[in-house]
Amino acid sequence: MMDVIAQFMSDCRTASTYHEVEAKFKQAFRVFGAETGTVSCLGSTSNLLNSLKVVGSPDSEFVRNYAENNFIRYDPAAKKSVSTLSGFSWDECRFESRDDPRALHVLDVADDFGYKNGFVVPIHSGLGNFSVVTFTGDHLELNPTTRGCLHLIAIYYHVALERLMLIDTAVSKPELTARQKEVLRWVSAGKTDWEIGQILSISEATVNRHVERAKERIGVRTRAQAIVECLVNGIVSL
Amino acid sequence: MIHAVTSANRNLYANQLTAMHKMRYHFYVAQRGWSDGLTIDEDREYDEFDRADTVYLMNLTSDGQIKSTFRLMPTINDYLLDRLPQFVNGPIPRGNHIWDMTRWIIAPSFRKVNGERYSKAHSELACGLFEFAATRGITHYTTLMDTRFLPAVEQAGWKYELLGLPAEYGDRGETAIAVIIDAGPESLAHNRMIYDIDYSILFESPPPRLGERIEDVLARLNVIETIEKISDREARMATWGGLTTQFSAA
Repeated sequence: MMDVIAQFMSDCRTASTYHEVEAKFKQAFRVFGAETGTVSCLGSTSNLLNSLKVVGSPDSEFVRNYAENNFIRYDPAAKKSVSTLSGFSWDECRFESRDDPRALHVLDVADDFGYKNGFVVPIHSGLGNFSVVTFTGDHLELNPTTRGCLHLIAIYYHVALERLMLIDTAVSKPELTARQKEVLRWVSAGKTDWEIGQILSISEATVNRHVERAKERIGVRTRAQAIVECLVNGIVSL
Repeated sequence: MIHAVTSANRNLYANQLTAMHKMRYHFYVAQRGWSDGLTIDEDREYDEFDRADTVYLMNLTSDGQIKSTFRLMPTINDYLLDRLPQFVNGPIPRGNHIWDMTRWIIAPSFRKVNGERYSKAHSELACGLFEFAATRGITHYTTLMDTRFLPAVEQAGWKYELLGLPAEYGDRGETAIAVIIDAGPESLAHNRMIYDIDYSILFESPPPRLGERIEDVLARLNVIETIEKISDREARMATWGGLTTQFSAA
């Protein structure tokens, strides 16, 4: 069990594409009885209630339905997720909103779509972003161990997505060449120059030159700083 | 500057220690309603881990105000995880080279403001923490922290292992997780790099002479506040250790 978590942590640190992170994410949460995992609203806390951004979600009828009916306005889980710091289940929401028919309706619709119970993890990242990761499943047994494991999976998934998104933001700026951006992505995934050379079929020295040029343009001394720059503010021109 | 407040120099920091216990009362008792195992003395909070072998790292302004603090103690004696073994999956870490950290506080006026990557009060303390490790040969720090800080620890690139799963503490549904953090020289180098602090920031006062106050000790040892008096980068590069000679632009 701790092995699954440790493996997922390490996968998240080294993943270089969304696809890769998502595949590992699915693999990990299934071990704990969840069938879907959704991350919504990677943004700052204030945006939550007016922008539901679904990243890495299973493509489902429910998500469309949710958006069309503007369920975000009544969803008790969405409301609770901005006011709490720990994970909670839909059952807890159902109990807490027992006097609010519109809130209950959202949960009932979810139920109709086969999402019987959900476990919701609000995440406040160290970089000021906020997301909510929701796991659902018919046989989701929310004992303390499952809750703990899903909580950790949610955290490392968020951190990996945030890393990739921030690099995207940074690398979408035009000042770096396509090759420099590509090389930096691999550097951020912890690859050595030699390994990157193997991946891109170029020499180690060429990889090094790309990194050095990129560092010059970003104006930092070390490659770690270059990555931190991309990761932390996403405004550095890459 | 980060001051290491030990049993040998504690009497220099009477005011700060009182202020720290008041802050702890405010954060843990008044705000979060903690009471188990705590000793409350009016508006100050103490517990069994405020002991002779406890070291407080205090990030102080040049006029002695607390910006942030951590409490550290060696794990050869009982420590927090001995009281809360449910957070540890396996044997409880123990050894001369493993210290535990608790009671992490950043004073409200020194917390992160909008748009800031890190609170300076925190990044300085983090560097002081790993510098302190070097002075004692500490290889690892254990800590039980609120799970909500885990993303930040991961994103700061600290090397650590999880000691168990997040589990509930207190009665407000919050969860905490125990971790063991690498405290070797690489960690110090890493923290200095990410927080852009490339000078020594830790000060451990020797036992004072009779009647000396902390400012007297600093003057006697010719210790100059690195951060607040010398801000520009080149000036900082001219500093060496916690002891600096005054830098002139000429």
